[in-house]
Amino acid sequence: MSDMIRMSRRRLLASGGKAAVLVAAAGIAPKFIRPSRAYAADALAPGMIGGPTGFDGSERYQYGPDTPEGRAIEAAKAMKGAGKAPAKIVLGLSDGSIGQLTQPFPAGAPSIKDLWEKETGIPLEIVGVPNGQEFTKTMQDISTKGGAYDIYAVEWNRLGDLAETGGILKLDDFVAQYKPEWDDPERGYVNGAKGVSLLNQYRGSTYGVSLDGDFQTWVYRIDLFGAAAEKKAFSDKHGYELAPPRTWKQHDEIAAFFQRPDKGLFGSTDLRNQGWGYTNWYQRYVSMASPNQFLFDDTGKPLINSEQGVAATNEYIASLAHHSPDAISWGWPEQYGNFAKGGAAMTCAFSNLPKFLDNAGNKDSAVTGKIGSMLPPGREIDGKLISRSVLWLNLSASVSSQAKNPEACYLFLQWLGSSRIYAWMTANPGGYFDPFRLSDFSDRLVRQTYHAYHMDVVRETVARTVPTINYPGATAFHNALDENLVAALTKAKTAEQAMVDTEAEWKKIARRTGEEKLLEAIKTNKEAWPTVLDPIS
Amino acid sequence: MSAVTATIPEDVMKTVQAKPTLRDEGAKLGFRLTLPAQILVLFIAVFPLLMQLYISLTDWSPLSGLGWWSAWSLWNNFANYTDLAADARFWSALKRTAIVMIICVPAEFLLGLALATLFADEFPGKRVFYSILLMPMMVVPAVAGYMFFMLFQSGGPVNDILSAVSGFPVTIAWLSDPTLALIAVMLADIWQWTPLMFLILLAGLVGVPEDQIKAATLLGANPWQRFVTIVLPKMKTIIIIALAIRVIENFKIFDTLYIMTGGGPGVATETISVYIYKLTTQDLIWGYVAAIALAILIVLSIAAVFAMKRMARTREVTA
Repeated sequence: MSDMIRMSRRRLLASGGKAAVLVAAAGIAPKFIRPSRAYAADALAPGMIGGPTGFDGSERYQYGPDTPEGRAIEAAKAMKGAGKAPAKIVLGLSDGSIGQLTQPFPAGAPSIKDLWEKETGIPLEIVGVPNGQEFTKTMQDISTKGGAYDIYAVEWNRLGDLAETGGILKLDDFVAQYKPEWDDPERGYVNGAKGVSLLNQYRGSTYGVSLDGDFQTWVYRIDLFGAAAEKKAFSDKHGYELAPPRTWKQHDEIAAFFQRPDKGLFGSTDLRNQGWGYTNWYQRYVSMASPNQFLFDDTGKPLINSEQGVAATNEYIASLAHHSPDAISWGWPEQYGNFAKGGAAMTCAFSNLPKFLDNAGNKDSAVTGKIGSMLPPGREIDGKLISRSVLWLNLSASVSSQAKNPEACYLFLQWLGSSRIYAWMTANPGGYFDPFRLSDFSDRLVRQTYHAYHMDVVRETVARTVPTINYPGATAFHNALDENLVAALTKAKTAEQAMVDTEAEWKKIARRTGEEKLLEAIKTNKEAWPTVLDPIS
Repeated sequence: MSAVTATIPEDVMKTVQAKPTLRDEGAKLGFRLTLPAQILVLFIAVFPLLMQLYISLTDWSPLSGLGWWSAWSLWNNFANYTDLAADARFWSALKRTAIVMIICVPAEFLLGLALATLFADEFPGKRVFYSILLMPMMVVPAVAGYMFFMLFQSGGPVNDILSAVSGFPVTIAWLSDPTLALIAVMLADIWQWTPLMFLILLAGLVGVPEDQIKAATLLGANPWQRFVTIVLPKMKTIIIIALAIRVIENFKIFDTLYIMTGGGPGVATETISVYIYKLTTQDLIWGYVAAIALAILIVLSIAAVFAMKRMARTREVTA
């Protein structure tokens, strides 16, 4: 992010999101209201020093002293005891995510905020930031030395930009001291140290703590794909079975097959608008070579002005034929709203789509019980299938250089982003933070909220996900690509011209940013790209 | 009679000339008294300008990790200015801003003048209509932008009305089409700011002397003649003020446009304000932004000087 959003589109995004969250919360929360089965009203399990209580299974989110959560809490308590704790920690957070920290979940549980304050005695003040304006607000605070927040939460790929400003702190010493265990093989990040490097680090140092899992995930309508009449009509026309597409060619054929605007049905509604659409171009582009079609080569030369770049752009333009006529101005509120009405056969969105829309409590959803998940479409190259998704938006939290007590801020982030507390938080339907840790995918509460069928696919999608640009100047790079792609979509430019112009812009941005700085960041970024190749079956 | 001439000695002359007059004393005192304020004004106006010039000659940005005073280490040999000269997006944004201005301001002026003429006379319900007419101006531009964003959706009220009128389904994707999106933005601007034009022009209209109008009527002038020969000349100053306000404001068009289209699709509705906003808050290339801002300042200053000279000449001719 684009935009939201841009947006106001941003207002729509915020209000639409909040509405979805409330509806979802209303629907899901009752599932967990089983006071009679609560573990114990206010008791921790033996050996545990902290964590939530008051609901069935709460012991799974409790922690002992030698855990990342436990170490963070103990250190914060000690700080408080020694009179060195800050009067409060101020966290700037997207409006749409606040609910997961402030709303108790499930019934009988405390809220995340209450638990932190109760265990450490350090008040947490959460200041809402409009969705889509996280980076702008953060940059304002940094450049004006406003000091309005101790902790920023912005899109993960802005870490490079923020680190270069000097506005966020390097966290290496705290990481070494308090051992967050982000690369734990059982409970840590997908792809271990590689995943940690991708989400939390910039040029080899830790600057952030991931609080999100925005691995773009594909969903489809099982009722449409399973209908006998549809299956027959499709196989008669194309000569193969109607099933979730494995390749982009199949995807485009299936989307064209289901494109029935007169009946209120679109083939595939992965976004095409400014600020978001280019992430779907990414998926087509990066799967053009094995194991990946990169954006830059090792010398920092852009690779998009190429046969692959033009082909991906032409595909991207052609895909408008099986989309809404408003595709270019649709943001995700329109996308989710349309899917909820049963208006699309397939789409690609945040992993929370089934949480909100495959939800008996959401009376506005016509697709409850009708959603299936699938891996991203790919391409056959050298006898293997290259299937790639993209990591886009994904909030990461960083400690402000202006924070009164950086250590306390880090301790809070270690606690919040650790496996037990994060799983408990992400299961809460009151906000946008999505699962991303190995322990999240197997967590019972998370699987109930997000659906088991979806979680397994999300986990596999994560392993096939490429990062967006996270070098300094990330926003400028993305904007240049984004604007040229929209120009191509609107026929203001040819696909070839769009790629030529993007390359020219990228070279200019690289010059302004500093080529040396970029080379190192490009190299680090590449190390996080997936290498999974699937068999063609 | 012979003329008597007296020669004043040179040293006396010098003393007389060197002796400060009361006026000189007053000027000096005035200068001393206003010096603190002048220094402050100099600091407020000139310092940022010099700083902007300095930054515009470098690749400095907040991402550089350097304070602005260290921007010299990122000196770029006037690259921002050469980039600007070759920046097609900048020139097209400038052109688009001019197009919006050339269409919106006259439209608002003509509509405002027509409405003001209507409201110059009494009629039943005038107060109610007057209030209704002023309402768009009171809407927050961001809200107006959102309203028009919803109105111009392909399934929105505008297409519904067009469908009802034409008798067949209209699903124009207004905001996804580069030309239609710009038209939609201009319609929103005209809707919102015609009332301001109307208000200013109505004030001018009611200020036209009634006796001259009556005299002209008695002499047989028809309404059009009265309007052209009496009303318009009398309103000249207020018309210039109204147009100036709207031209300046329109050049800065941002909120409504940004919310309706974000400058899109692509950059199809991107005006200079939106372009600068994106470069400043998203791309963070502040050195380049400083160069753009300076270039615009110079262009606008030259335009303002020409306009003021022309106005002064007009006043001289009129006098």
